[in-house]
Amino acid sequence: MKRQVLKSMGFCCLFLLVSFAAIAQKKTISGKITDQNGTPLPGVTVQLKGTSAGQVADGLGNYSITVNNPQSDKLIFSMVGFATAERSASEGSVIDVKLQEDNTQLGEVVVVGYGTQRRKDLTGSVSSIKGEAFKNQPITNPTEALQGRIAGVNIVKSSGAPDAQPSIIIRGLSTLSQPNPLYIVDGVRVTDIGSINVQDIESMDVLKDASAASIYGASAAGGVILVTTKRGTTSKPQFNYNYRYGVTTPKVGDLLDKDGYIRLQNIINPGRFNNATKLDTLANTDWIDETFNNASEQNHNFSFTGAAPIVDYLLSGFYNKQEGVARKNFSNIGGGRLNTNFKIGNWLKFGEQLSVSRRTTSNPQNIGVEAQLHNSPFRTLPIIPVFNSNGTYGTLPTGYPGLAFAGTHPVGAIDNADVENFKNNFQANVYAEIKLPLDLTLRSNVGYTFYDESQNYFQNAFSIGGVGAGKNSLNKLSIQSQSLLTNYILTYNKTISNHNINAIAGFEQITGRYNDANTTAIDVSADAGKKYSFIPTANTTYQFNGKKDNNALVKSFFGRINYNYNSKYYLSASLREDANFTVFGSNKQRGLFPSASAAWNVSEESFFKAALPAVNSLKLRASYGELGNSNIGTYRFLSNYQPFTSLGNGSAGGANFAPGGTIIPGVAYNRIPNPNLHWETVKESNVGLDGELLDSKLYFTLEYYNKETVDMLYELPLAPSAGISGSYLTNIGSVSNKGIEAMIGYRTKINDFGFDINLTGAWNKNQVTKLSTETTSELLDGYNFYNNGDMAFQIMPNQTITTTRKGEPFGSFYGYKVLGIFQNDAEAAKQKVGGIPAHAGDLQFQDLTGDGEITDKDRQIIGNPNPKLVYGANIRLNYKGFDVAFLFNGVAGVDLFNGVKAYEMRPFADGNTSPKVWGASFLNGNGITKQPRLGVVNADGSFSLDPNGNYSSVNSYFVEKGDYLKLKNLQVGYTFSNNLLQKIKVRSARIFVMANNVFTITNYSGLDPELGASFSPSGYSGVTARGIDVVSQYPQTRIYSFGIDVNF
Amino acid sequence: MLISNQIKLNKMNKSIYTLLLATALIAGCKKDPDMVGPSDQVSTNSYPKTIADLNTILNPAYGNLKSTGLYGFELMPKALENSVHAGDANYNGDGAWNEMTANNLSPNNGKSTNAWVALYAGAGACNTALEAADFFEKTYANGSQKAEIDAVRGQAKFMRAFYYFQLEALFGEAYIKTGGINENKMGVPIYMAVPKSVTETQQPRATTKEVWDFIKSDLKDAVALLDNKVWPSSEIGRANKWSAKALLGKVYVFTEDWANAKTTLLDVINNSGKTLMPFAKYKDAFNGNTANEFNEESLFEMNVDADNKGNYGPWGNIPNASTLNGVIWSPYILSLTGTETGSRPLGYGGNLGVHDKNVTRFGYPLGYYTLVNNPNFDNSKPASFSNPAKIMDPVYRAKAEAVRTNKTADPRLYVNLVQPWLDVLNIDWEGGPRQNVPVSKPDYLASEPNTYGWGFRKYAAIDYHLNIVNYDKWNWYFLRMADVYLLYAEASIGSGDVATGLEYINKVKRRAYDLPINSASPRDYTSLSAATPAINDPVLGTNPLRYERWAELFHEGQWWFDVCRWRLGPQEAAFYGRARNLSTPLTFNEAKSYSWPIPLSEFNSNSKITGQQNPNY
Repeated sequence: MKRQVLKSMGFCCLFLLVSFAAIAQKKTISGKITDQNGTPLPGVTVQLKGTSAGQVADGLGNYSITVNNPQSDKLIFSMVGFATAERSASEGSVIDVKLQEDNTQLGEVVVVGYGTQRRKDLTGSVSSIKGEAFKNQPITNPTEALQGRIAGVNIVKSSGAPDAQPSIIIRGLSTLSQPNPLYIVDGVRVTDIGSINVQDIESMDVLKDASAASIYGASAAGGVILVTTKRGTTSKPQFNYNYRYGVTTPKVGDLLDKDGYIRLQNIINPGRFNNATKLDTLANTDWIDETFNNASEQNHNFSFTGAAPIVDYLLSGFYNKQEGVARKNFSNIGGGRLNTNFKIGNWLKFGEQLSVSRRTTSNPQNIGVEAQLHNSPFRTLPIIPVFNSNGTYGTLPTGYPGLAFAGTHPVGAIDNADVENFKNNFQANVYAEIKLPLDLTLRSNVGYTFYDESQNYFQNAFSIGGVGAGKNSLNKLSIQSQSLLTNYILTYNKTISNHNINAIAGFEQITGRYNDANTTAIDVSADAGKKYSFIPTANTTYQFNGKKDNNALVKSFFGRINYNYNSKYYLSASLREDANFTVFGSNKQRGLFPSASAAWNVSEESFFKAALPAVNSLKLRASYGELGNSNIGTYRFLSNYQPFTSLGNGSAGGANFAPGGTIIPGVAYNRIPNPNLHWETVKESNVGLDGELLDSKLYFTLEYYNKETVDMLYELPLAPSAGISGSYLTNIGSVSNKGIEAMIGYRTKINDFGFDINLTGAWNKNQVTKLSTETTSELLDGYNFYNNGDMAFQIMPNQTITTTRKGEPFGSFYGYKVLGIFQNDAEAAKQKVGGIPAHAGDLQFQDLTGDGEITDKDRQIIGNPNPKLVYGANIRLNYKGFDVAFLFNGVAGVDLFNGVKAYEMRPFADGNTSPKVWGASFLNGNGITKQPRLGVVNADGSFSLDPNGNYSSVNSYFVEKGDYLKLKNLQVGYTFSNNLLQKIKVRSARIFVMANNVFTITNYSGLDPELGASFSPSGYSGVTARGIDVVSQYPQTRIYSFGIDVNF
Repeated sequence: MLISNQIKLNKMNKSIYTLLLATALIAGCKKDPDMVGPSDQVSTNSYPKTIADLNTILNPAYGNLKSTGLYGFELMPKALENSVHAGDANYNGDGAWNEMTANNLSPNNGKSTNAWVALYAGAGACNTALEAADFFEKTYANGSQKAEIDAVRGQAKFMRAFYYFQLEALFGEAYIKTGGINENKMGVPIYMAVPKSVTETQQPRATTKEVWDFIKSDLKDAVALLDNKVWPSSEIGRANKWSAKALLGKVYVFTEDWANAKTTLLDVINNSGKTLMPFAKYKDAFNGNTANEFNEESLFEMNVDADNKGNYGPWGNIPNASTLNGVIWSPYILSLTGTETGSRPLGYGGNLGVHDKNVTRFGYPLGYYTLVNNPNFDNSKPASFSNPAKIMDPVYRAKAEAVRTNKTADPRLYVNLVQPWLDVLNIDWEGGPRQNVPVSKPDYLASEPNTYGWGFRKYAAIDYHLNIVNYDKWNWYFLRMADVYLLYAEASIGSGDVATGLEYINKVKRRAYDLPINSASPRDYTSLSAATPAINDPVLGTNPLRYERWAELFHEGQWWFDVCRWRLGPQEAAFYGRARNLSTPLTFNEAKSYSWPIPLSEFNSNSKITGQQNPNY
């Protein structure tokens, strides 16, 4: 790896030695480039139209360029953020230029795969967002910045955890193994952009359709997001510092307090408390208060930027400190970046982007034994105190007949676990670009990413009531991974009269290395263990895991040609071949991914200009392309021996054959091999229309796409009777996504009042068109977990909530359809659940089989968790120094499965429920309400809980409309006037206040309708367990912040 | 600043570029690798290389018995002991337990599903071992290793038969009756080899005959393959030919092939060298006394050690030899202040107690006890379990002691259960010193006077707090001579030889009363309808064969099979009447409940089993 870097660098250095001849020409034109206010603009590119010849204005905005033909040559002045200007050389030898701030979408420069293009010249579907738009939002993951801003990109952030990762889906779920988008940061692939400082981002460009993305071949099926970091632009060095501080509040539920709990027990478990005295001595603990609290977020950021004629630079640093709302939870991240770009003459560019970051997280509520995370801990009792009178953790009061509690003590469980996790990221990219003869340019990138994670976890031994950890343990984990990307791209740019050709050819290779070690020592010195240090005791035992794998290798060849005639007619085609040696089966290591597209700038036609002068531009685009998804995991095509597990527990692999005998470990086949395993292919066609009207104040984009996934990978569940624990991964299914995307914006300035409104909307229809023919054609998944993974111990035990099958969208809710609530016993008696007749107040389920018994054969599709419409609105207003920004996002046409509601309305196991229980029919003096009855009081006074399965079966009572509109972010700022600031040597300063997750308009009865995927043992949770509201999730939060942003 | 706006190169420069470009591309390009694989797994093309390797492949066949879905955790305390009402669940928060108690399962019942999955995982491990044995023999072995390879094959076949035996007994549609009745009913899917393609994983249910024939054939092969194998003491827990013969005999009894049952079982009785252990050992043979493990009575036994290697019993990934049944059915000891209120469970507590009806079923004739003020209470000291303020009524206590001494009740009552106040356990409570503490009623029964509130003793933690250490320490018997004697008795009776039948029933009974097993005694049953110790028990009261199988094998996971093959469901439900975790009286649906449902997950992944669910599910 190291050797390769050196080679590549040496290669570039050699070019420096090559001398070039500069040939003087006929006329020199010079001038000064400024913005509208007359401030000099350094760094503007000045280009001779129709050639690649050009230069960059110096630090004072001065330029000087020689033209061949002063009569006909034209000069093009361009710079990011400003509208491109075109002037004739014939105007004179001094041409001063004022650039307008870019008011048009089409003028902007867009980063595309292995290059840039003017938006005007795009033939594929690319959406962009500037870093400026989100830099002060309280987000630490750049992905979140896209929420509500880009049509067709559905971002869901369903957790308020300080290090939560939002989920991102571009143009609908295309596969079971839904890949994340491919992230390319300054030309280098990274697996995750969570460590990038949001404020370092210049722009993010989303390649949405296959023609734009297919240059990334087998990795691009999830879409491609190109992140470009900032660079210095001003000749005068600038220093920026900003800071914000916010308070985070959790959105949590409600549990029955002591009185409510006892009152309910007197109905459902008579005898426990009815005759008890001294009830007033019992505790009244609010376990939600004990486990969740308000928290805070603060963020520091500085940057130092500048540009000189041959170099521009950016140095930045940030530190984000977040407390979680959950007990003992925090996550802090800090980092720095150095970007420099050198330009030697007009023939050589080179530079680098370096970034480092370190995230420190503590989340014992997710890791500790018995310390499961619940947004409402239903399996607790208010009558258990946090602490007993003797100072130990609270336990169940004794002497109440039949009263038992085998659940956990949330506080004690969290407090007995200590964990710290460190994630270090280093990313470096070095590039060189050199102009060659024959209109060729060669660019080479060497990108290196290094990831280092370590974790210390000490689990103290404890015993509270029935639960605990018998022995303490100290776990130390270390993971290192690195990847090295090298690519060589040859670009050809040529204009011959009105024919413009841009072609690239390239080779790219990515290698990866992985190494980890995971050690646990059990029964160690607790004093040392608490400090994450290790001192053994006589009883210490050890566990060790670790592996190394340097096999990762992807090799690709690719090429693309863009042609346009006079910026009117566009044609483009690309092709990429990817070879992947650790992911694809031995028979299928190489995949080929083509694309083609065309566009027509209708507004460039003279007839159009004459007919519709109000339309500034109008472009029609069409494309087709193929993309691959290799989100498979490694070596899934092989069958090997690996440690035997039974029901997921490896301990059962071992056995010995005499008391105290040596335990022999056990191995077993891990799966059935599949040498034909390969990528999934997404075939997508796209039609788009871009336009600007009314002096480009009004702008819009419309897109239609038709996307089909073929050879979809399906983790075919093997029949349990086959006795093989692993599933069989095979290319078997098909999925269709069709949709329309619209973006429309309007911006203008009336005197001092400026506003900018931008609306996005995306309609998508998802359908699985083929799943499997080999076994059965249905994938059942999704559970209403209390503790993730425990299918049996939950309120709807062992019942799946979703089905994925041919002809239906992914993860459709599947259960009994509720027709209503029985109003009288006679009518109800016709329905039997588990042989028991229903009663008034029970849910009436549709009996599909008509046999009077409600069984799993009566299940049907009862909802679709895939939103029909995802939309957003950005409104930015400013008046003199004031600015206000609203960011709305919303979804419509979506169903949610409110699994939490079942826990809120029916006591869970030996635990508690919420006050909503009192709304049940026949409870609390009610007659028949809209809420089904809880159970029935038997003749002997005992209580049968929920015999009809009102709350314990998967049924449509829990399916609700999940449409919502959220004011995601509201920001109000004031920028101080220059006069005031100049006295204190401050160039500009802005203060702002902000609220995140301000309000939600919805009919959904749960805590928050913005739901991602819940846990699923199938491994497809992102696709087959969407829209299930479960107890086992981190609460959503609301943040109120203020901040300041100062430039020196 | 000097800038050239156009670049021109001479020919030499051009060729340098071409050269450099070519060099860079070649240098940067890594050669395509040959077949790559993960370095933390071993390839099926090069393993096993040694007998030891082969044993690591065989090992899961045994280890899997400790699966959390089998004897490691769930199958006994959460499934079978609720099904047969040996246990009475106080905990009603898990629907799957409640369904087990009600003998009315859903096809998605987690306990039956896990049993299915884990039993087939075990059978799959046996197939893998058989295949690996062939591979090893062909590829790496030398001729002298044939016997060792065959021993592996023999064990794999025995274990495969053992898994299929349980699969068929739990999930088969019906037991085969004398004369081939039910032979064409649905058995379970059969896998004779590791499936190599998805198609091979699609198997319909075989007939009951096919399944039992498969089991018998495996056991016969195992007998032949293990014929000369004598395991050293360090491997005493491996199956041998007598394990296979005994199981074969049991299979003949379960399928009512009395003639073959008799010859096979008699062979075991006469030639295995095994017999009944004496009562002195018997009473201390179920609680982890290693001196009494793998004894003269044991034919196949699962070794369990008091060492979980840091796992939570069988939960976790470190190969170990521990289980965790006892945590669910732990007995209670008196509270620190000597009261039943606040009594301390030696496991979770509040989960599974002993069903009171079992106390009288063992012949305990007394009613419930009351607590009275302790005449010896020392006011000057704080109340404690050695100085309790209230004690069991001394009159009652004296009577209870007499029942025990005089063997008025079956002595096995005290092997299986512990009695409040009379039994005293030697316990180190949460790191404290070992102390003798009387057994107590569970806290949850402390305020219910009309309850016995005994605790489990067999397969239970009686000398440590299981919740602190998280492991069971007792071995589990799967086949022992008492079972063989009773099976032989049943086969003899079935083929008309009542006298022999009675004799073998009596041998088992005599041992329970600490009498010489081969001499007639006054305790002997004199007929097949003689009165048994069971009081007011229409099911067992006058049926010595049934009673002895129930009493002798109580709490060992056998009774459910007998209930089903003898079709005692409704009678048993009527006898036990109620269960704490159900609000309705016990019932039994004979048209459905003798077979567990094939799990939904099987239907979801096996197209050939469509329409083959057991009746009435």
